[in-house]
Amino acid sequence: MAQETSHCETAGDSAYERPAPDLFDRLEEYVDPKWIFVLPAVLYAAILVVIPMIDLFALSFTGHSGFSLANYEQMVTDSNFHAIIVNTIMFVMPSTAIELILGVALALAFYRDFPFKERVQTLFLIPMVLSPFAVGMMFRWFFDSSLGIVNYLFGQAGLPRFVWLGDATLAMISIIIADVWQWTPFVFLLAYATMKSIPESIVEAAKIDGASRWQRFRYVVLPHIYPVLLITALIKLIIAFKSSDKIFAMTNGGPGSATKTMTMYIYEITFEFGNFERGAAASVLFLVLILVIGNVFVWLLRRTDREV
Amino acid sequence: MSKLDIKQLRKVYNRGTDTEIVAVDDLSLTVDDGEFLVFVGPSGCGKSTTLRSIAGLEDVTSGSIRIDGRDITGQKPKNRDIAMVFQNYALYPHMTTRENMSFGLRVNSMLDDDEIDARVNEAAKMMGISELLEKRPGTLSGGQQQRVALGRAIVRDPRVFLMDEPLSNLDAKLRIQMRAELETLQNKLGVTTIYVTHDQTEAMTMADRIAVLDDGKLQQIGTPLECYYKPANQFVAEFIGSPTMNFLTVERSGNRLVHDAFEFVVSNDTVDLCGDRTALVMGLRPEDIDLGGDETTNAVSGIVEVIQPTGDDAYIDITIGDDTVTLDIDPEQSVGVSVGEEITVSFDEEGVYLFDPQTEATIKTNTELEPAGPDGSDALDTTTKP
Repeated sequence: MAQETSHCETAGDSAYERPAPDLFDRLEEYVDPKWIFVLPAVLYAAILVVIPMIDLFALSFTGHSGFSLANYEQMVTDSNFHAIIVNTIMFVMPSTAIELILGVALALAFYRDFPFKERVQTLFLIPMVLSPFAVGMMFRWFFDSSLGIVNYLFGQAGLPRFVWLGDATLAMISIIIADVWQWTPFVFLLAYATMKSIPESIVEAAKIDGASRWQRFRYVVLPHIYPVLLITALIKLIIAFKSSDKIFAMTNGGPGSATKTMTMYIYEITFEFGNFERGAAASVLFLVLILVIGNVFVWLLRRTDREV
Repeated sequence: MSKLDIKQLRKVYNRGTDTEIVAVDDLSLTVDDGEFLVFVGPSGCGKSTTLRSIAGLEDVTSGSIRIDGRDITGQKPKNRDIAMVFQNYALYPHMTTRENMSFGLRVNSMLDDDEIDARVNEAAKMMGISELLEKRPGTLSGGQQQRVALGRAIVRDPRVFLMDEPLSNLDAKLRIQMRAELETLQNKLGVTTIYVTHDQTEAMTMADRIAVLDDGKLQQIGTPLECYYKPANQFVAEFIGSPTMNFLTVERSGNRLVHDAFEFVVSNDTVDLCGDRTALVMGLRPEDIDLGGDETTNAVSGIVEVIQPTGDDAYIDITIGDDTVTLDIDPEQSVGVSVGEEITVSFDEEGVYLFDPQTEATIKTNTELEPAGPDGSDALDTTTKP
């Protein structure tokens, strides 16, 4: 009996005993375990992002004989490069603005119930899932001056026919139309989902307060979806800045270089002309441009956060 | 200074489909000028739908709603001159308290900024939220948000206040405090108010009159005491009063009400009320049952199941035959009682309610208390709907 008791006590004690220190326990003495857990992600980022980026910076400052600012100097003074920046902005800004306005309008239309709403909604989302290149090819045919459906319809309506993709301004407009067609659903989807999250009672309170439909949108719905619209705009801007596939399919940057954007320009210098140093410098400038715009949005978003 | 008339209001959802739901069924009532009327009933009884119909947030299927004789049935909410307080407060999250309160006046009145400011300041003072005017709802506590929501309603100076369970998101202590404040406020402003709640205590304590709804139909409309002492039917008797009334199925044989476990002798007056009915439902309020009594009186014995002391009361559940009956007694009386013990309880005939088991209509109400009204009439004179 006494033996049994002592046996039990021993078993009880050992249950509270610390197991022998394993590898992690020993590591803990030197380094906080959280660093061990984030190490794989840090390595991944370092190898695939940070190191290449440092390399890019180094490359952009490399001339024939070591360190040089020549790559940047050339670009800053190059009127071609200025034109490319203007092209990029002329594509990115209008397309994003139009998509935001149309997307929100569409979301408002879907905010109320109507027959076959779900099915119509699915139809609206199709453009978003298509490959940009395919969309580009499609619209290239639509806007074709002799075979395209746009000119056909213009002809039928008694309107003049245009050489859509052969004119500098019209080509840019055509590309913007294709982009709006493809990306409006993206804005719609996010705006609609956010609108749906507005508590119904708030809209009802506004109705009872006597707000008109426009006032309810302006003072209740819009402030609610504003932060999401900002993020949507930022994402869409980044997509637009990077986009070259659709433009490549439609105009290949033409006529001349009227629709050539930043990414196409960087590709051209780097891989077609083989000037890696200048390509790197252009990439850095491009990065700075996106960072500036991105930070404007982050600043706007922070300001909204503080307010609400 | 407004009177609200509802005539034969009917609201049907999914009309003409398999899922048709009659939310409000032929509801008619009048809310007098300055009255505090409470709609009370279980979830799905149609009380909120009725309120939303008055607000103009729901289209009615048929019937009419009038404020001071003006038909507002098809009017938009903004043309009804009503203000509403929502359960979740429904404050505009991106606006300050001041902006929340002034929004209605800014979008729907001719007042200039100075007048709007003056009215907001006055309402804020009345609600004790003057120091919160520049804060946003997100930084306020639930109770403060509720005050802002009330302030937003007051500032509009509407003909009718509509309140949809405004206190149910508050904690118990704050709820009791706000209950008193709301009542004081309503008395002070004298605005006709319709208040929706599922909480019968709220209804009893705040209302001038209570409208009890069930299944879209008005069961009874009357003062809280009328609904308590003279319920129109078994539903009202069960819904009003806490703990709820006990119901026992009995057979009448002459002057005796026979239950499986006991017999209760009633007077000839009660027998007359019963007519030729023999099957009856006997209703007993927990507070009308006393401990003790001997075999010579109408005494009943039962086994104690549960004892729940609440401090100022003690609830005791006992089994009588197959039924469980709840008693509400003084806590000191419950001291000697223990679970499993057999105890004797008794009740007076005056406190016994009788209902028709088929129609659930009331046959006999409490005859003990008949307080006289201010004009000498019977204050408990019930206005019931057939």
